[in-house]
Amino acid sequence: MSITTENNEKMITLMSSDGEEFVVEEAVAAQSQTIKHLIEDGCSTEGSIPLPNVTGRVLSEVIQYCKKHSSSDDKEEKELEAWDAEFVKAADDHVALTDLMMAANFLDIKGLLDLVAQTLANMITGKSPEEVRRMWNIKNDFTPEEAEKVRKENQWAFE
Amino acid sequence: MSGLLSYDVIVEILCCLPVKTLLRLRCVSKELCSLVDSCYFEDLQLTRSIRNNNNAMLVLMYQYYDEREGNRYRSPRPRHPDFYSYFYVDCYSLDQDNKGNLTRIKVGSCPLRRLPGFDLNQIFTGTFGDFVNDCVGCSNGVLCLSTKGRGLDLVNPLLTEKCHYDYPSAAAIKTGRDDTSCFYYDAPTHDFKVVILRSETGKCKSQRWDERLELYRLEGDNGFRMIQSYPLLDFDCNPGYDDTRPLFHNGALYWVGKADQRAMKIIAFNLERDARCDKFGLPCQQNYGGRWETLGVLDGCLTATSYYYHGKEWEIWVMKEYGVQDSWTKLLRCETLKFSEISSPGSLRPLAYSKKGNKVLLERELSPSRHPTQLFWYDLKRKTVAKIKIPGVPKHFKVAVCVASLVNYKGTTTRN
Repeated sequence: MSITTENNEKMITLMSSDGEEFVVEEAVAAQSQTIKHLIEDGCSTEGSIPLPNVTGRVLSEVIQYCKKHSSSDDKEEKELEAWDAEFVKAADDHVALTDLMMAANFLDIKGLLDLVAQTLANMITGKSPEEVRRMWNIKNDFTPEEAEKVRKENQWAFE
Repeated sequence: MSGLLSYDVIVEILCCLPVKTLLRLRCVSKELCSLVDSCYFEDLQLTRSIRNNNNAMLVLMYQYYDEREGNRYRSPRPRHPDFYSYFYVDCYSLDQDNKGNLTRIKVGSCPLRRLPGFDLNQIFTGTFGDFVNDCVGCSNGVLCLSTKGRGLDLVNPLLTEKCHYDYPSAAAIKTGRDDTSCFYYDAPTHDFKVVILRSETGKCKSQRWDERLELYRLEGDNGFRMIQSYPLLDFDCNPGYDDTRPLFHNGALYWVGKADQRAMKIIAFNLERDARCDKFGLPCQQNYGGRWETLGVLDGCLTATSYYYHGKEWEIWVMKEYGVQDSWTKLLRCETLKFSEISSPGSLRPLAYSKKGNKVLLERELSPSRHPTQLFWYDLKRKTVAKIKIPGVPKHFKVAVCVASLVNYKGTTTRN
């Protein structure tokens, strides 16, 4: 149980919702506050840590991000920024980013959360309410009259 | 709320969006609308924007003058009957570095471009410089505008309504320098506060014995509520000297004055914390034809601008650590010639860093407020100056920099 005093070469196993296993350095996985707390609570001693909310595809992306950022201290900030930009570009699709965002939120990885949130925000900027509803799968519960009223309150925002 | 995203995640995304998009998203669903309208989100959007240096906004306030009123400026815009009765409040985003140009946040037909309730006759009787309405201050996205001797209006230029406060006793607040006042929004306590430098009888500058500094909270329906009042007799020198408005920042007033044995110092009078009075040394004492003239705030730090008569140069210094003399750092030194050929140097004030931090937005106001205002980008690396052209805006305008926010100005009573 003296895991916190071990050096960072200690490996742990993460298991995705679809049963895929990933073996990563503890220091990499501990960028997720959620996993860090699980480790501190001794959950990793019994084999792998189950992550029921994250699929293997998303988890591999998350680990890719964590690996890059765990060894980033001595790296140029600009290089890391460029890497981040490529990383979210690779995810490309809005749905993939949404999955990544949900995982970052569940795993509590602040850097990734901010990065993906900003990317998704950039996709939203300039979109009409109808497009946003479609992207986020939100039901329009306004009556046409109500919608018109809300719209009129800030008409300039639609111009 | 959403089939794809949890509430937490949506809040995270909304925090990254510009105010204009947020206002548009209110139409998406009732839940999203009430989230955007909530006090919780209002606070969060503000703190995140400040933390992440997002949503920085430049506000320009101006008015066109009617020829019949002795107008000197002709407007390039097409005229309509109400043209001269508008008080224009234009907002520009500082988030994008478009070759040094400013991106207008399209206020367009936003009713706030015309502040309703101003009677034409009232408007044209005041004369603060060339401004009939004056901007008392701008804090966290809320503007405080004064109508001479009558009261204050709080306006978030991105939202639609405004809130008017009559002065507590109209007779006591006179025109001119006597209603020198400052405004700020105290975000942690959600209080809108103003400071008024007021004089009962003093008409000339030698009669300072009865001047007072008064700190008020603006409380929704209750109007002005006095928190503190301080006699100015306690000071070696007074704010409002030379008709320059003292700087108001973080609950304290700052001005430059002769403090100890005639040495010029920055005097900081903290109105909230036990009326503490601090005196800071200026970056360096100037004996060779220079003067300290302008205080400002840049990225939360106090700044001082000096002008050297002989070299015809400006220097801008930043106090990196509050109250620490050794932390004064020179931001830039620049010949006045680079700014334009006009002989009067006027004052130079840094307003904001560019998003990338490589440039500083500078405001040059040719004193005494009878001359045009000019805006420049100063490139810190290349040491070059570029004038910012803003089409359709007259030469004379007031400028403020703040965060674009959803802050509602109706005061504490409407929260909860």
